[in-house]
Amino acid sequence: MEQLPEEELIALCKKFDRSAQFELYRRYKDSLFTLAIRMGMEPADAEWALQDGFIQIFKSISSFNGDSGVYAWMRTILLRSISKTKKILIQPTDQLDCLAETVGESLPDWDKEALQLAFEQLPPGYRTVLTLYYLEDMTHREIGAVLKISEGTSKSQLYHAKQKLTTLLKV
Amino acid sequence: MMKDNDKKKQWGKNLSKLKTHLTRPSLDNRMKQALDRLEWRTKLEKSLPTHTAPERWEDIEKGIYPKQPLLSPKKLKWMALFIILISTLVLYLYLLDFADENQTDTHEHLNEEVDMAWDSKQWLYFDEFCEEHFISCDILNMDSLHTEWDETVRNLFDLKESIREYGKEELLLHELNRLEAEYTELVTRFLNTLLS
Repeated sequence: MEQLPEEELIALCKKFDRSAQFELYRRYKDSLFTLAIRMGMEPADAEWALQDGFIQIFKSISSFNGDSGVYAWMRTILLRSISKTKKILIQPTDQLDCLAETVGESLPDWDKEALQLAFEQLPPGYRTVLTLYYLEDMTHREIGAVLKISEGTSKSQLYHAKQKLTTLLKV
Repeated sequence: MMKDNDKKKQWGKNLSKLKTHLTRPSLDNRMKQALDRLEWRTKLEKSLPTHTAPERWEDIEKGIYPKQPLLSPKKLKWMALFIILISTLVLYLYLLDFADENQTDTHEHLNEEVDMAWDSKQWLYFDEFCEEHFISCDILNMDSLHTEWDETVRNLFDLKESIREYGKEELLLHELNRLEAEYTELVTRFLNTLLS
């Protein structure tokens, strides 16, 4: 089962094969759990959101048609579960539609621990957008759809998140 | 002049095209964005820790395949109500049967008692027997015995009527037992007197 290609694994999951379901869970649980933690959730809440997310995943797996990757599909379901557990507060910011995309600051060579600490100090909304945009490779449109905000808000959140992070690291 | 004007027009068009081209996100700009994304991603990936999810497969499995209760709460409620009704009915029938049996027993017992008492009334004519055999009633003190006996028999008849009227078997049975004891004592006394 561990060597089984993803398409076959999904096909078995659609037939409610328990060992295939467990294998899919085993393959993605850590990535999805890490995503929840990076979005600022407490471990206990992240655990709960992950459990709820996987239940939803397996209940609705028959609707997965393979248009997007399985991870992207599972991630969308998890993000919905997270937003049920935790209200992600998006701080009001200016609508800087294009600014975020045109800013291409070169990153200084930051200390790993300092970056980690600064990241954890970011407001939840900034953390979320930064995580989804850079680490999850989501577009502003996708982020907007998941967090129920406009594309412009997502861009400005990202811009401010980067500014805030830079400020925190300079202190 | 005309040619110069045409050239000016053409030049204006070209300038407009150039402006449009310059204001459009250039390839260079898109390259910069991609580079920015890659740079940030790499830096963040390197710095931020990954986490291992705690094992929750059993809970997830329970969520996917919830155990179906044998009976739904609604069915369970109806089942409980049905059991209560049946139990009540059985208890009622049992009590009805018990009461009926008890009443029958009481009546039978009473009838026997009354019959026995009635038969015993023969004793009332024993004085005639005594006379026939030259035994004095005074000596035997039969008069007082007769009076007592008549009273006992009358009581027994009254009892029987009461039972028929009110059906208070337990109370009357107790009374009957008392009378029976009284009757036994009376007969004993009578026999003792007779034999002494």
